[in-house]
Amino acid sequence: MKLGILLTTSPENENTHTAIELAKAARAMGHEVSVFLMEDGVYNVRDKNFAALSEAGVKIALCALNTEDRGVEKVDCALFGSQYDHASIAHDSDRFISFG
Amino acid sequence: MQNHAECGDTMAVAEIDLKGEVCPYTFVKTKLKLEELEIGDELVALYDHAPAVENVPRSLRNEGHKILGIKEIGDHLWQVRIQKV
Repeated sequence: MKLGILLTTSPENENTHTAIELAKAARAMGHEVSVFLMEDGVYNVRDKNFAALSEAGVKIALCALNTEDRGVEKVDCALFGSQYDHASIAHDSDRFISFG
Repeated sequence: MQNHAECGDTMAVAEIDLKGEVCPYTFVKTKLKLEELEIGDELVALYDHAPAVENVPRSLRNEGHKILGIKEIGDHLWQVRIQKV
């Protein structure tokens, strides 16, 4: 199954922990997981647990415009993309969960 | 829809100036402009938003179009040549 996760809140929000644990659990069960970060959610790429997700095979994309607005530096664990990537994840997912 | 090769006429070149636009409008407006063109036509697009210069060509390739060239033609100003496929 393909699981899509949208996260728009910043790291101190409990959504981050929930999204990370959900992604880890889904990957452990062999599902394909894609995460899209936007708005304050882009701050999450600074969280080392998010980098660990990408090492576990979770695909992470985010809105480059929102990172520019917030001064979030580029990191390797995520595709600095656009709403096109958000739409592609939503289109391709069997299940899509939004945390915002 | 016939393309140029089939009906033997010359390829048209259109332009779109998207200076001042940011995501997602850079992609949306480029795509809408492409829809007006014939298969094989070339679109020359201008952007002044750095993330757009990375993401719009990648998204258009995903949609099957051909990127003929990406050139920085000024301070924070890029020209992207796209062929409709």
